[in-house]
Amino acid sequence: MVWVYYLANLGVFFCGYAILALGLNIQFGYAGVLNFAYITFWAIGAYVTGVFMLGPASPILGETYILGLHFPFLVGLLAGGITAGLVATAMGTLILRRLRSDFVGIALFALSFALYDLVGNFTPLFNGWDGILGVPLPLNFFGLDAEQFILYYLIPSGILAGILYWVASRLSKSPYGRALRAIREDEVVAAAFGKNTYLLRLSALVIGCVFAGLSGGLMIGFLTAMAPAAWTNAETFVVWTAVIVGGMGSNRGAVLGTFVIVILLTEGTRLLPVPLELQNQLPALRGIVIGLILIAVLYWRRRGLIPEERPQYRLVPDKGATVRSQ
Amino acid sequence: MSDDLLVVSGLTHKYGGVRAVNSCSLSVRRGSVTALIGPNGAGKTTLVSVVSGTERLQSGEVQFDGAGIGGWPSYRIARRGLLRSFQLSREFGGLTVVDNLLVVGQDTSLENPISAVFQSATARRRESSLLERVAELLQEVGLYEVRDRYARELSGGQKRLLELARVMFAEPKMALLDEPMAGVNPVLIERVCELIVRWQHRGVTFLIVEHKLEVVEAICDHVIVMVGGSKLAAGTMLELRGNPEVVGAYLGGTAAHA
Repeated sequence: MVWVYYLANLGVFFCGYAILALGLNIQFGYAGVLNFAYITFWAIGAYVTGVFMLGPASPILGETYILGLHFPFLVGLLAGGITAGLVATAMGTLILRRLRSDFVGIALFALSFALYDLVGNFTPLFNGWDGILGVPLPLNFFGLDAEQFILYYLIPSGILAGILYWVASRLSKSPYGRALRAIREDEVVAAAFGKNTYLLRLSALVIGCVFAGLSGGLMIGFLTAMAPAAWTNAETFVVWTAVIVGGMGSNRGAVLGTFVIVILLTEGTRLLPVPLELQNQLPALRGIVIGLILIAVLYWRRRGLIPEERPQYRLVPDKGATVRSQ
Repeated sequence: MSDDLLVVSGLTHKYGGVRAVNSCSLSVRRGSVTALIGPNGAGKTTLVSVVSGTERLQSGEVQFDGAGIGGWPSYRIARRGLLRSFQLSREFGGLTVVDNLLVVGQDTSLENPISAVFQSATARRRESSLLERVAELLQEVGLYEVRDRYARELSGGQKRLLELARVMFAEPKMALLDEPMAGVNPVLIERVCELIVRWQHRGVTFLIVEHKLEVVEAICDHVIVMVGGSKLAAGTMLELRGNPEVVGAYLGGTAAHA
C-alpha cells in the first residue's frame, strides 16, 4: 500500500509542476520573456493560499503572519493566483517597458532575491524563515486521514492541471498566441507591424505567474507548510529545464519535460536504495544529472523532446489568382 | 486631402557623434512610387527607421496622412497605415509562412487572452476570411507552395518575397521598402516590380530605397537623391541625369549615356 501512496504523492507533484511548466512555457516558450524569478510567484501563491486558510496567527506559539482568515480552499487558491498576477503586473510595468529581454531576465532575478530576503527577514508577513505550517487539508469533506487524503487530492489536482492545460493550448492556438510568438521571434519587427509589444509581453508574464500562483496554492494544500527553504532559485531552474527539455513553446513538451525532470529524476529518485553515507550526495548528484540532460538537449535536440507544433491551415486556392511556380 | 502623403521636415538623427541624417526634408506624393537613392552611408535606412518609428525621432518633424507621427512608437505608426520592410530579411523564422502573414493582419481586436480562451464563432469567421486573403496573396507573390514551411527554412529570394508580402498583407496606405531587390535574382526582380506597380494601382503609396537604377527607372515616378544625410535633389530620373551635382555625387559614369 505504501507504493500506492507514494505514486499518488508523485501524481500530485506532477500536476503541480506541470502547471508550473505550462505557465513558464507561456512566458518563455510563447513570448520569449525570460523570467528567472519564476518560483517566487509559486511561493506567493502558496503563502497567500496558506494564510487565507489558516486561522489567526497565535502569538503564544511565536508565529506571526498576515490575514489568517479561515477561508475555504478555493477562495484561498483564487487569491493566491490573483496575488501572484498582481505582483507580476507590478514587476512587469517596472521592467518590461524599458528593458530588452535578456535584461528583463536579470532584473527579475534580482527582484526574486529581494523578495526572498524580504519574506525571510520580515516576520510579520509569512513568519520569516520558519514559514507557515499547519495549513488545514483542503476540500477534506469526508474527514480522510493524511494517507487517504493523498489519494483523494489527486482529483482536484488533476482537474486544475487539466483546466490550465486547456487554457494554455487555447492561448497557443489563437491570434494572441501568434502575436506572442512573433514578438519572441523579433520584437522590433513585431512592433513595426503594429503589435503593442509591451502590453503583450506584460500579459504573458502575468498569465504565466497566475499559473505559478495557482500551482503554489494547490501544492500548499498538500504540503501544509511553506518556508523560504522550499523556493530557492534552484527550483526556478528545475522548471526551466523541464520546459527546455520538453520543447519550448510546446504544451505537451512542457508536460513531458515535467515528467522526465521533476518526476523521474527529482522526486522519483528519492526512494532509490542508496547507502546511508551517500544520502547527502544524492541531491548534488541529481543537480549534476539534470544539468547534463539540459546541456545534451541544447546540444543535440534544441527544440526539445516534443517540438512546438507547426500550425497547419487549410487554404483554398483562389482559381482567379495567378499561380506561378518558383 | 493634401497631395503629399508623407512630409519629412528638418529631420536630424545622430548615432553618437555621427550625423546619419542631417536636417533632411522631403515629401512623397500620394499614390506615387518614389525612389530614395544615394551612396552607401547617405542615411537612407536611418531615415526609413526614424520615419517608421523603429528608431526614436531625435529632432525634426514627420507628417503622415495629415497627422504628426514624429516620436510615436512604431506600433502606432504601423496601425496608422505606414508599414516598412527591412533591408536584411527579418521574417519571423519560427512561424510558418502563413502565420507570418496572419500575424500582421491589422485587426488586433482578437489578440488578447480573453478572446483566445473563448474562441467565438465571429473569431473563427474572421480567421477564415483572413485565410482567404492569405491564399490569394501567397499565390500572387508565388509563395503558395511553401506556405506551411517555417520562414527560416525559405531561400534568400523567398524570404525577400515574404518580407514584401508581409508588408502588403498589413494593408498599408504607404509602404517603405528598404532595398526590396537586394539579393534577388533578375527573374524575381521583374516579378517584384510587377507586384509593386500592381499594388500602386490599388492605391498604395511606395517609398523605395533602391540601388538598382534600372528598377528605379522602370517603376518609380519620382526620385529623391540623398547624400551625406540630406536631400540633394529630387525629380524624375531623366531630370536627375541632367543634374551635374547628382551625377557627380552618385550616378557617376552612368550619366554619360543620358
